Amino acid sequence: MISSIFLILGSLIAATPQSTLTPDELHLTTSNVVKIHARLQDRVGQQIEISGHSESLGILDQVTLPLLDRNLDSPFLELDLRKSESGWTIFHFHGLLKSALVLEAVQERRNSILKSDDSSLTHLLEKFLLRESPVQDQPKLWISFQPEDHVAKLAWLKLGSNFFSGKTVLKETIDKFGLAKMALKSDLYPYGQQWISEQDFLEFSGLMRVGDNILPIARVELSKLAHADLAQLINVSRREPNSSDIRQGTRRKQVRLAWGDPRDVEWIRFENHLLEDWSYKDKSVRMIDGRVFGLHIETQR
Amino acid sequence: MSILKGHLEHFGLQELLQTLSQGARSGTLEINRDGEKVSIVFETGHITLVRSSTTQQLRLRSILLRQGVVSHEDLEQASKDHEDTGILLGRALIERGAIAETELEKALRTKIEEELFDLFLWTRGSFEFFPEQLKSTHEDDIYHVTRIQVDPMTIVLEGLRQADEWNVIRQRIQDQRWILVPVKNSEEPAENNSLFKLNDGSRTIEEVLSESTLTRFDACTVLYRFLEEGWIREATHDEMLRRARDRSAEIPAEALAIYEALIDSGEVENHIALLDEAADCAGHADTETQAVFLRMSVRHLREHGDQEAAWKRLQRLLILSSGHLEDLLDCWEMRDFIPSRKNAQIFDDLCKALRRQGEYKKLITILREAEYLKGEEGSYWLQLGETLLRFKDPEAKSCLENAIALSGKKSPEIALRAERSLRTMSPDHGMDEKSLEELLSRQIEIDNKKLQARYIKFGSAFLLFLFAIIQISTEWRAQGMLSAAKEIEKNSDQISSKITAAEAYERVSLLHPWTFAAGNSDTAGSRIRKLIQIEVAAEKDLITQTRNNARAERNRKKVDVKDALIRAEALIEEGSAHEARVLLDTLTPSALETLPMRERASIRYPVLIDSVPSGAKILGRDRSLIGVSPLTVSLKKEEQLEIYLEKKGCRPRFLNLSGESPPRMLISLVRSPLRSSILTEPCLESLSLGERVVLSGRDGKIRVVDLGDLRLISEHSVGIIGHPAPILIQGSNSILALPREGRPLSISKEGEIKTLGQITHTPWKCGIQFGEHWILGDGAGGLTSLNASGDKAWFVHMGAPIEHIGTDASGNLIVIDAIRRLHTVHSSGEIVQEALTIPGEPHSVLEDGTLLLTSGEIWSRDQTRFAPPPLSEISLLGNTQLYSTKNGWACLQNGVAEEHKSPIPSTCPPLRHSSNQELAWLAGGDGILRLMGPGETVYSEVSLGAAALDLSHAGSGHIMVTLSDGTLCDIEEQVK
Repeated sequence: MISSIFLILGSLIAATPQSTLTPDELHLTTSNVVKIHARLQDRVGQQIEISGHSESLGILDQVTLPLLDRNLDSPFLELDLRKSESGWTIFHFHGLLKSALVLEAVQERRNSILKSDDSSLTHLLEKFLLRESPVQDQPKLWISFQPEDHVAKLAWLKLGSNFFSGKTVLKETIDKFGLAKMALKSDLYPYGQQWISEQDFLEFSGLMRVGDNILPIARVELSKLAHADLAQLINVSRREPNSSDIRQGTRRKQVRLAWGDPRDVEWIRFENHLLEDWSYKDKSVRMIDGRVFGLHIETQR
Repeated sequence: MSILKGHLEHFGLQELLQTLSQGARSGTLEINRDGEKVSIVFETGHITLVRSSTTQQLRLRSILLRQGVVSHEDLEQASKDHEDTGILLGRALIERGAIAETELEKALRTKIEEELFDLFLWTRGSFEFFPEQLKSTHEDDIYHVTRIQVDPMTIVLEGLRQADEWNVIRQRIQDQRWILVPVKNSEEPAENNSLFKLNDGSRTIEEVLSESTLTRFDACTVLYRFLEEGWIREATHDEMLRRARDRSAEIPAEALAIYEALIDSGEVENHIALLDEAADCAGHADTETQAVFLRMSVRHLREHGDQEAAWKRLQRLLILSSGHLEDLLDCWEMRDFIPSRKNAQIFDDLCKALRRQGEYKKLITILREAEYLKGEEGSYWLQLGETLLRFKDPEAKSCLENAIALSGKKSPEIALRAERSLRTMSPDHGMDEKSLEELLSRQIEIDNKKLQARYIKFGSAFLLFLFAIIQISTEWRAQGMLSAAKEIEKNSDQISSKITAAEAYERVSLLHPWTFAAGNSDTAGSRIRKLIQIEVAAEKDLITQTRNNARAERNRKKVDVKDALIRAEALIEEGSAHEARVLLDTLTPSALETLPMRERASIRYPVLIDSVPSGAKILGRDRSLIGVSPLTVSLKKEEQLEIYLEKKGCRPRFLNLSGESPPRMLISLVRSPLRSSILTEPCLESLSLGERVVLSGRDGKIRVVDLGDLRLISEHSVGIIGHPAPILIQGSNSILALPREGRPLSISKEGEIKTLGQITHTPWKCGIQFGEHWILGDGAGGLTSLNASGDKAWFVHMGAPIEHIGTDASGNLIVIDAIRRLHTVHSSGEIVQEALTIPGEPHSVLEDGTLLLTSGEIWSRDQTRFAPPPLSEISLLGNTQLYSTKNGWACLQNGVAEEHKSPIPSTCPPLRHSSNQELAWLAGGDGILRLMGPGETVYSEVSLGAAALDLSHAGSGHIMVTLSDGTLCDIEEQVK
């Protein structure tokens, strides 16, 4: 066992990564062994999540990681990773690094590649810098990233919307540089007096992205429920309610009688069954074939 | 304790070293010459350390550079370490890795050797050997970390050789402060060329030696050879002088060295001028050096008998180093040549200096010499007597007696002091009691007088100070008042404020007459008074003229008003009451004031009372009939008239009129609908189709009602109960009912009912008729085209729920999805242009393909126009679109929006009057349907009884109103 560990370590040390990456670059790299600077997001057993990488990282048993707070003041972990079929695994922990040092190094990397045409890498580094910098520094930092190139500017605006959706800095920058038309092209939305990101716009509009399509959230949820256990839904909707209150089994007419007409209705047809979502101001009711199977009432705090 | 002590003249260094080496001695040999001291440490006959009073590090630094083992940069960094941490230079270099231990050892050995070789040139001096005493210092301990051992015998041999050669060299290179210059037109030597080049005519020999990489001895040997072979020569005096002058301002220390060399050479023609120049140069460095040169100059001048010039320089010296004994003595010696008024001061300073330095014998000599000068003063004799008394000279007695005699009553203090000194010589020498008593009383008297004089001085000064304070305070206050007065004057643009300013100036003079400010304020006050007089005169003239003009104007107005009143009366008689009222309203209140009160009150203003509908009875307060609308009444301005308007089928209206009422009072009489009928379910939408009207509600049904008698003809289930009411889409010959869930239903003019399309899986959201096709949008982004027979012609997927469909001017379809993208689709279903994001929330697609946004803008790809923000859906009649707004209703025509006010906000989209394009029906939240025109004019009112949900045209001259309680109302459009 020990000899095999040494064997693995030996082979990995032989392939010790030369340059240090940000977690955002992990999905781009072709190398199987990399060194990264990352901030700990969460840890469950031998799996950790780091900010900037959507998938969890595995940890070899012999690697001991320190317990850290998950905030912007916490230092970065300097980690060696290797790629396997199950994803990236941490095989060596070098130590902790001060945030300022890492940010400075990444900023230098960005500056050095800025003149090259690798705009996607620049974008990733800028995303990293914005995410990991102190909140008060972020607006100034983002404005300093403003590129000259038209295409790059669209990406820069989108990056800004991810961090400053609905914030004054986004509106002021767009107004100051006359970027309203470009902002629309970059999937930014005017919302009242502010500009918001596409993500926020969809959320405020009760929509969500499913693949390439945009669909109402209620519709997607009905579909999920139907796919999950249609029989169960039918079963609960066939209960005979022994009360005038709205509950499972209540019929459509009774719902209308009790709560009035809904503000909006969404429906799907699944295996010859009609599933409906009636939404009111602070509640919603879901029905299958005209009978209630689910209720959702928002409780006031 | 030393065991060996002597002089180098008798026991040379060679013998000393030999003795100590052969005896394997340990200890320290100290050699002194002219204040310079060198210590040589012996350990068992070997020399381990040489410590000289000259700076050690400089020589070590020079050796290291000469040997080429370190760079200047290394040395600078090591020097910094030395300054910061106190570490020795050599150690610092080793720690920095600049040199190795062996290289330092070699350099230190060379240093010791060179220092010892230098000692061989000392032909005089004293020495002393302290056995077993290493006399090491802390620095030496560190120094000894690098152990050096030098054999004295090798030093002796080389030292003797060098000493011999030094003697020869020094005959040629006598002064190292001198400058050597290359001989013109001679070739440069190939050997030691770098040393040759250092002699560029600016460096002294000392500088050349320190910068050379050779040892001092070797460098001097080479320089000697260069001189002998004619490569270089000694600089002339002029060249030296020029060089000294060049350096005097920037590097005075180096210039002074050259001046000293020139002075020491003694071959200068104008010695005094050179000394003065050197003194001036020293002035840049320090005063002490300058004084040294000036003293040399004084000495030289006195030697040559130029006492006047010497006195001039002595005067500078007395300022530069006041109280310097040597200078004062020189002055005293020259007392016959200097102004006699200076002698007394110089004598006093000299006496003080001599006393300070304890030179009392010299002081006695000086005092005796000064008898001619001070012989008449008691203090002189006292000073001489007291000095002589120090040496117990009997002559002191006569001197002190002289002091008593000369001072006497004039200076009893001196006399008393002399008397005390006399008593110290012998108690018998004192004065008698009486004389002493007199002197003491005299002394007290003088002291009292002095004290009195001091009090008077102090008192006077205090009074003067007090007076000055009071005067300053007064002046300060006066200046403050003057500034305030100036400020008033600056801001005064009217005569009254100018008078205030003048009074302010006069007040300054009055309150503080004895101040500078008072003088200034007098002048300013008079100036302003004159100015006021001029302005007052001008204002009087202006007032008179203005009054005359006003009187003329008033008369003219009066005539005009009377003319207008006569014309108004004539118009009323002719039946043109409205024109008469218009004419009367043109009379302004100021014009009317020209008439007497009685005449003004008697003017009558005609008011036209009109009603909608017309023909209403106009009754007085007592229900007496006044007339039938329209009717004109003439009322005085403040006369009140209360009337009632009554007409059958309308609510009666009460009205209060006066002469101030508008010229035309159009009273809308609220009427009731022509007929009404109640349905089981309120309808949210209605569209008329020939003699029928189609209604849709939230029970999922559509109803067809006969317009003639509001009878329900048929009822069709289209959608699901509770779902949004089926959308009614107006077609050319039919209406399409589009439910949220279910198949669309078509109702033709002939009453034919037909379901279209297949069962759908997505909710319908919107639709329009497009040619013969129905274009329908759904909640999953699908755009479906159904032909007249209900078959699917084409289908396009847009990616997001479709919210609005319209057409543009090019005949293409405009499709707006839920994420504000605008798609342009051809009638064949082909997407024409790339989707474009709309810069706001779309409200409706207008007829020309432009968009009305919820924020109020009318947006197209090319431009954005502003319109009132919509509060309701849009209703369409012809090319005019109407919608309700926060303040009333807006009319959109050819892309231009116009907003009109209404008294109560509308509950549903306004409806254009079917025959008058300027009027619109608005169903108010108060349950009254109003026919509104521009300018908030109400042309007709109908009482509905509940909030209206929809208005639609229902045949000619009728409108159909659906109410929230399910009532259908048929209302006649009554055109005024």
